[in-house]
Amino acid sequence: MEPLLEVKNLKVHFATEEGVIEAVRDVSFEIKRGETVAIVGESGCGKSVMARAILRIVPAPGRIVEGKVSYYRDERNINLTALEEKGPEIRAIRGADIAMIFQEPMATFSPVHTIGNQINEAIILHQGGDQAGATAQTLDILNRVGMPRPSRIIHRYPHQLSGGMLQRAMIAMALSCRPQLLIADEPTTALDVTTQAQILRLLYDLQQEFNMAILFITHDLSVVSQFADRVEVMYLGEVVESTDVITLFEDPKHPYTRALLNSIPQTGAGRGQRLQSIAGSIPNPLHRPSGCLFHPRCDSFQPGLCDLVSPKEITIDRDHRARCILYDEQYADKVSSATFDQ
Amino acid sequence: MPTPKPLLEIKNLKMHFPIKRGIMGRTVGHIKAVDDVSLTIGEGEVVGLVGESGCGKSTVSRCIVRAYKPTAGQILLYDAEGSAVDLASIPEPDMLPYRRDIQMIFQDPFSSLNPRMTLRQIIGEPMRNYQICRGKELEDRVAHLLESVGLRPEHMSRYPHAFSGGQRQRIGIARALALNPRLIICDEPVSALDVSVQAQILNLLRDLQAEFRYSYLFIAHDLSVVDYICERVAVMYVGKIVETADTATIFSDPRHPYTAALRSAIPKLNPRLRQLPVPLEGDVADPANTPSGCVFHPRCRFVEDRCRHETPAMKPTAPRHHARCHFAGELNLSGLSEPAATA
Repeated sequence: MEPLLEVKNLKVHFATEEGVIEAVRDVSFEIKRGETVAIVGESGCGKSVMARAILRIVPAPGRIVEGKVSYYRDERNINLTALEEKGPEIRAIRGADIAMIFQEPMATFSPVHTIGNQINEAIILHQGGDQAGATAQTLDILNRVGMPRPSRIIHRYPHQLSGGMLQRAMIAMALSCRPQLLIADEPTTALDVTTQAQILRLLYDLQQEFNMAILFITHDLSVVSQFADRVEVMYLGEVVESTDVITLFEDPKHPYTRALLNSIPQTGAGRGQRLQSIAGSIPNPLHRPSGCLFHPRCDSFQPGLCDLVSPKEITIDRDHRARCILYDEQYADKVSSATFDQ
Repeated sequence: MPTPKPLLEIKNLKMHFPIKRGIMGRTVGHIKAVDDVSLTIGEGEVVGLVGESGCGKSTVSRCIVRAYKPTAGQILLYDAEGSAVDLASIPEPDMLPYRRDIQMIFQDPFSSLNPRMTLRQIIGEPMRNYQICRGKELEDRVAHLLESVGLRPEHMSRYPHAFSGGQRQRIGIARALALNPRLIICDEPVSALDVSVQAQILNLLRDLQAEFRYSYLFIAHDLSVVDYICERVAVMYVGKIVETADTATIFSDPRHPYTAALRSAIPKLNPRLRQLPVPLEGDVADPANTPSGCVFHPRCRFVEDRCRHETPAMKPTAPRHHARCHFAGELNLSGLSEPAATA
């Protein structure tokens, strides 16, 4: 499959009064056409900032300080980070080629315009045409996302719809211009499980129909297991493990990935057993640990090594990379062998 | 499993909120947030209350602590000798001695702690209010409570902002334990936390329960969390309990179609079992305008004519297993709870 988007050495910093927060530090990955890539991580790992950096909508005082985001369109390669932030080029791509849906649909829509008007606006902005033509397209896309009675919904205001319906309306707006890439930032986190199941199914069906790629940002590994092709696990602004979804669940390498997988309660499995939790909590981004960022919470911690050396990204297998010195041949003789069997 | 001695018995609890319109504040209808809920929590028992948002599970907990005055029904709190007091009907001032028996842990560890109070004040306040201890003794108690929830006693004079989400939830737990309550209501205690921290808090709640035999009413929307911590589960849908059973059976052998649908909606943690089932179409019913007959009938795939007209009663389907469905025990729900791979 040909690449659609390539993120290379992306760094996003927030200069705050207390100091510089390295929200994204050196993230690289690739999305192929029609593929679903999941970015997994806990709060503060930089996954949302990274996604916003692709569309150049990083909130102030955040700034892309380094890196390249290449978007491939019609044999051409556009470097999104080089475009002017409010310029016409990025605005033509944003919402048309690359669209985004958010966790809070209520915050996406303007409360004082009807759903129909807002979707029409996106269509007219990117494709031209008149209101009548746009309305026909809006009705069609609302129908496709499974909205009941679209001809009535277009006259409604956001507050008149339920959470799941509004999520559908937002997906409809994002898909109205047939994007090549949909960035979905925790699209089901605020929803109930039954509504989540409806929305995930809908995204899956629409992806098959439109052959679009999805960048799925989430903290929920169970959703990842059902939805993603590839997974990038992030911790404190770095990708710590990167692999296909099957390998991630069956042969995770990074201690953080393993610990995350073990800490999820599952129905039926392990009732009466203790959950394996990860010690401590996510560090303050202003006070990053030295060496490996995960070492204070890691159960494979190697004193004198992990707290000093910043681990490199190690290629484990063709498409499997982990940022951990346990797999670095350079340190192989210094790592106690017992840790591998954990 | 023997049925434990009851601690709290909720009988036919109703909480209807009036909908007022116009400048005269005319009552034009009622939101039936809780409609005929009966539930018993035994001594030392952990009972889960699950359901989707808006089903009334938090309203039940607020009725128990009398943040709301219930419209109808009884909430019987039993003392050690077995005599009961009805918390639903006693006058507000008489609640005081019973409030210390029932404590709450809240969902949001950020808004549930006063940012202008130190840990010493937050955790010590309940004990001061009930004049249990003061001065050095109070300080020792607070230190002990902090230790029992895994925090350092020397942090006692810090303010909540200095702590992470998981640590704040521990502070909230220490505050709930301060009066040595008999029942702790945990209202979504881990849903605002990160996965790695969630496991710590769940383990802590379990360890405390094992050590001190507290009773928990554990309210959650996440079935896997409930499955991990609860002995018995009640499933709520639009103000009504639709099924109660032991945790092990409710997930392996659900008798209400809604429970089966909820269960199959949980994504499996296995990429080889790819399935994106849609167990339920449509939205949760509006509690201000509930459907006739069985409240679940517009979304139920087994709906029959009877369901549209006749409200089903809670009926036993097995020992300690009840379901509110006309056809409980007759339906084949196995296809719903273990759906075939689709995607």
